[in-house]
Amino acid sequence: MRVYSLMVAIVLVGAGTIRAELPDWAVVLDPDIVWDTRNPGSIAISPDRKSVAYVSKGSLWWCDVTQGPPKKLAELPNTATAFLAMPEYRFARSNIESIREQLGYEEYKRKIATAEVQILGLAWTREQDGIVYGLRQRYQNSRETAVHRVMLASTSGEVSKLTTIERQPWSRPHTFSGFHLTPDRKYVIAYTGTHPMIWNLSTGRPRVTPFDYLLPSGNSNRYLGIEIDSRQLVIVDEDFDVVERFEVTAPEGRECRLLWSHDEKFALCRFKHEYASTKWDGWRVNLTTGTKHSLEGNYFADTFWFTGRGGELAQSGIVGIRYEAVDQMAGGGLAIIPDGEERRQTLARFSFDPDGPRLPRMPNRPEYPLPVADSRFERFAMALPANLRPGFMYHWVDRKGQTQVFPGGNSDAYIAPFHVLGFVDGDRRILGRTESQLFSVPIAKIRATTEAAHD
Amino acid sequence: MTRQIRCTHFAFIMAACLPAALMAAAPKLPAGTTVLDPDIYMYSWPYPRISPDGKWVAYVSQGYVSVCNLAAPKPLRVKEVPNSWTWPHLKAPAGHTPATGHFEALSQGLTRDEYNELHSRISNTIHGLNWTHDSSGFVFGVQAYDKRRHAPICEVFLATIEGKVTRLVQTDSDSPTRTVNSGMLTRDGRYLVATERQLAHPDYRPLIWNVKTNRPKATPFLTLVPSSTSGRWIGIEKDTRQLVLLDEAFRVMRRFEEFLPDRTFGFQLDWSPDERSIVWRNQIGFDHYSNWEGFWLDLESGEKRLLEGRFRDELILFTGDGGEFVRFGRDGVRSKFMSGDNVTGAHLTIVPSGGGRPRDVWRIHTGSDDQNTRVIRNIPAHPMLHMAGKGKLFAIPLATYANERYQLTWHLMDRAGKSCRVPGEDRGEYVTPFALAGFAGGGKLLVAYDKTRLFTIPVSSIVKGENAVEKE
Repeated sequence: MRVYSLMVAIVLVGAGTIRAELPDWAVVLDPDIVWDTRNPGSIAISPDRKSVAYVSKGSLWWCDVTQGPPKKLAELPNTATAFLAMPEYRFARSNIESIREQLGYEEYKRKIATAEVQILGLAWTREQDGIVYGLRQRYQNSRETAVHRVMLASTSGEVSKLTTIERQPWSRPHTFSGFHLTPDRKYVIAYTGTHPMIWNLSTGRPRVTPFDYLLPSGNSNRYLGIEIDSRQLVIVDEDFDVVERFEVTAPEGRECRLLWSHDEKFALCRFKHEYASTKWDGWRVNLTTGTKHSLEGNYFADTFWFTGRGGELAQSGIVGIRYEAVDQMAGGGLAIIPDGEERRQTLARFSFDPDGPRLPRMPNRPEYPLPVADSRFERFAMALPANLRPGFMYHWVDRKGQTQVFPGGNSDAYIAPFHVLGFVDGDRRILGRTESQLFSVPIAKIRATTEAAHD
Repeated sequence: MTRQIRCTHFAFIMAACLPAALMAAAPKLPAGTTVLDPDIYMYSWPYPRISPDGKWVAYVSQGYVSVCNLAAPKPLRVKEVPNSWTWPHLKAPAGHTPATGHFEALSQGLTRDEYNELHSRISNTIHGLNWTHDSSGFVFGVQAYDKRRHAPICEVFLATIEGKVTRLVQTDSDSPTRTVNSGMLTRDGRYLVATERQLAHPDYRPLIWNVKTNRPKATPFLTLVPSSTSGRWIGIEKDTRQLVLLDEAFRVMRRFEEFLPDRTFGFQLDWSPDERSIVWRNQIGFDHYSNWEGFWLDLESGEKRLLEGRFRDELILFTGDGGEFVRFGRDGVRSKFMSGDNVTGAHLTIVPSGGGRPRDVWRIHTGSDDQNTRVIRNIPAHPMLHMAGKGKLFAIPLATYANERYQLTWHLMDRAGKSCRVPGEDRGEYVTPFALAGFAGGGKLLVAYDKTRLFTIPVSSIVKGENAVEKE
């Protein structure tokens, strides 16, 4: 027990302050970053995986993934990382909650909460020439007008305000959490969760949005959506006219998630069961033939990707019984769901006792990071439980389910040896970060070793 | 066995005698009355609805949806709805059926379990009775309830005046979408448009139902109001919250520079028959929850008249004479002691088109100790006013205190405020002498009903000296 406590203490320290050694051959892009760990959306890799935009030290930065230094695109004063970068708050590093704990509520409210500006979404334009984001004064009370400044920071360094979306306390929806700029730059689609509202940039007013869901294509100007009332799965053109309907009806009142394959030939439609169930059911739809294949799962929060091989899907999610006490996870898994009737193939899977030593109850424990895949979904980087200590070590996982642990096993960080943010530069590198550095590493230089299979 | 036979005989005798007794006890109707259906049994809504051409009435009685011509009365039962409120075969505990009397009477004296058992057998509710624009038929719905799924099961029908019934909508309890339980049939018969109270699922937006596909159509509007003279609609668009004019296919034809505020506790739009004027009412505030503010607007010239009112249920009717409309409802002032307004009176006011000064046809002021206050406080505006001949004549309930009780008595009132009491025997009901469904026959008839009869009364038999009421 004493040994375990010591291990937890080391991990706690490691999660907070120790500057981990960078792997060999790492190219440091930013040697002194300050993250806002509450906002995982504060970093965005460009669709071509050649650039990265991120928020650090109260600014928006852009950087080539192969070399630094980063270029500052916009000042973001009074945002979380601006406070975290102040000398008096450097102790908190990437976690503004630590400041609150240190200052106490009233002091924190006076010095930070009343002044803080929140960054909403960070999304690349489809042309990859800029980053769209929103700025909103932190909520002070429920009767205030929500003012969203929707900004475009181009990679050439120009910052422009696209629009200001003001929502009165009685407006529904009242606040937005993300923004999509249409390729013709006529509209911004503002999202409350997944629920869209189309905003006309020329009139500065909303446009009628007869959709409950609107997912932009990464490949064209079209959208995959759920139409209001008919609740039908539809494809919508750039003028938001329905151009194709499918025999899929999203049940009214059930939360929905859509996924669209890059080639726009397949869709995954998932519908959450009624509260308090976490289960879902749905369809994988061949949008060319209209054929449907039913799917179901235990956890609506699971993440899916189309792999680019027909309707094949990759799934990452929770395994085992869901526990409420520890970030609702008792284990995780990575699987391939083949295109067709074949059985799903588990690539990696782990689980542990939530009260056991491998998943410690610790304040501000980093969230379990989502696995990342290369562009062909041949190889994954996935955090799996570390041997002999709490926390996780990154592994390569291939399509046969074989795993290799990353070097750097001596790292005491909870997520070791570093956070993998994605495959970049034509799958030749991975983008990673520690608590204070952003870097990329040539994949060929990562000398992973085979490790015993995980339970 | 002997006792059973005796009981059966007793029941038979009672059954045979009861209608006769009821008929014998039925109050005398005014002169000139034509009985349309001599043996009705109604229960609350839907109330009888008169066709737009004023020649037919649709109603629900004795478990049947029925229709009757006013000139040549011959009640036609178009569809039986078993296990509905007025179905005569409904078996109540203790051997009672609605056929033996009023439903509330049936339930009196029952234990709670017996009442619950009786109530559980009433599984179908009838909605609608919405006439088509050409008076060739009407739409009604039958809504059942799936207890296991806690969801409605709906069927909506179109009945012609000849009695032909066609199903327009059929939805099950596992319907993945919102559904309708009645609605307005569009002129081309392609869509059924349900507004707030015609939806089986609670939702604030109207719903357009595609009759052919038996599915809903995307309805991006917060309010839809049909034209009474064409297939067009006026409404408030979702998201933009803009006032828009729509064609028969619900395409936006024109946008107006009027926007529904985000802060609203209720909204109502009224559209003149000539499609040129609207009255826009937005309920404001929570602590004075029933006040409204709005305007009358000439859609062509943009001329606007600001309006406000104390109570949201105030009835506004365009008379059909240009943009002229009438206001009927209660007056009030902010209470010092409660959230809401105190009733101080009631009014029937004609507001002329344009900037003309409003003119009271009738107005009453009440004091806190006034006997009329209590009655007027309880007046629901709708459907308690009927209008004929472009606002030349009104049927209006006036509050009275007589025979040591409060009551509302129907009167006919002209634009000058001259009124005649609707004759008929006072049977001790709150609304007396009987219920009115409205004007018909080009304003020459009143359609009315009491507990056992549906009938028409010539207006000419009411508007005459002996019924005249002197102005106070």
